[in-house]
Amino acid sequence: MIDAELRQQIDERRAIVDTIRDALIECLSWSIDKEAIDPDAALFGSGLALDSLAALELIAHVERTFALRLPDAQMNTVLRTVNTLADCVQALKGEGVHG
Amino acid sequence: MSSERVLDGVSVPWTFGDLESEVRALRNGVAVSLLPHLQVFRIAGSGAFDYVDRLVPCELFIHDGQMKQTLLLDAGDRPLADVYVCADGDDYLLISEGLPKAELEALLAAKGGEVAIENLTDTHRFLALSGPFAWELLAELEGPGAIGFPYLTFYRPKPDRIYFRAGKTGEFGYDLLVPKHEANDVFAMLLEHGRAFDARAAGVGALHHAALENWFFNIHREGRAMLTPIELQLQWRISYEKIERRSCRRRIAAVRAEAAIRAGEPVFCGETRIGEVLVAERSMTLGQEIGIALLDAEYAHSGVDRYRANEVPLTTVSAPFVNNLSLHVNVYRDRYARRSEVKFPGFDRR
Repeated sequence: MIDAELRQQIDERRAIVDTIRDALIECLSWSIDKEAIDPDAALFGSGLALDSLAALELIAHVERTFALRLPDAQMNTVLRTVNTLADCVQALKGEGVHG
Repeated sequence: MSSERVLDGVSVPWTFGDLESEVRALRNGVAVSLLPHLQVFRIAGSGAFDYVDRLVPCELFIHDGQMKQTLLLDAGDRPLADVYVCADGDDYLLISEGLPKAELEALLAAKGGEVAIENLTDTHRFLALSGPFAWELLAELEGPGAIGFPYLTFYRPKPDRIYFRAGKTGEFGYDLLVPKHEANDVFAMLLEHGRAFDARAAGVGALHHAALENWFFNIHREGRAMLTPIELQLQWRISYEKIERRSCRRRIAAVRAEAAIRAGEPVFCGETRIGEVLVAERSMTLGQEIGIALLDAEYAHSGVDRYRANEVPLTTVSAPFVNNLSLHVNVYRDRYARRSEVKFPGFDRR
């Protein structure tokens, strides 16, 4: 049984991950269920195999949706997977850093 | 002292004596490896597309010179082999890890079809170059064309060789298919030319360790846990047009531990058992305990620090565990000799 505190933490995390998955589906016009996007699959190279144009669209979508600005200098480490992007969004939301 | 292990029925160099130094070379410069257990088949003939399309669980949307990571699955849709499928003109190449030669040949023969199947590993062997400056060593030997060689593509530097831009370490990686009788000479030549890059011979143990640090699937490790692609976070390697979609009640997650943990230990949240440790190692790059846990799906989310294995606190984290120097090296500007100029925030991705 998950207690209320952990439930809230997991629900908040899942909401961010699902929003990023929705952004991927919209940016790439994929016709798949968001649950089919593995949160630790690589965004580039293997895995989801995004190109640079899709990356720009994803960044713009995420920044608009969450009303924040992703750090340009850290894109190499932020844009590894859905989960690493979610880490960054969660950290920026926690800091109250908005674009 | 070097040691060997048997993978897929073949004795492979596991380490050349100092696993940690091998991983360090792979993460900082260049590592040179022998991969005698990899099998590669050419599938030719008028039925090649239909045959390969039946064989692999992904869509075959690849063009000439391109390769794609997928799997061979058993009747229960669990991985048998970790494969690359490569489009080579009208033919296909299939590079496989995880099945002994005889089993793989039997599996391929059982598929039927209007195809001719040739096992290129009867005449060729794989070597691997890995590391943030592997491209520079390859370019010195093969010319600047090697620099612009995109990930998951291949080319022929000579009629009897094929170089694949691949690898499962998170660093620049090249799998070099060379004639079997030349393999040892090429290995020695790469190490000789690699002196300027402090290149080291690295065993398969170093490659497997780097694969864990970078969250690359390992057919010999978590691939033996009888899990489905969805449980293994490998849905991107399959197509639900070919594979039945199943519900997922558990999923693997990356974990960091505050002390040593071991594979097989149960994972608890409070008093509730929520899964088990599948893989556990001390990261040689980070100096921290890392692993893969199989957790009930509702608990398998990154960023939770409420779990424990054998009383050791665990935190679920986002994969990969390490940051890679290769992501920060600019092949048009940087050189190994001036590696200190590369702006690298460090291996710990947190």
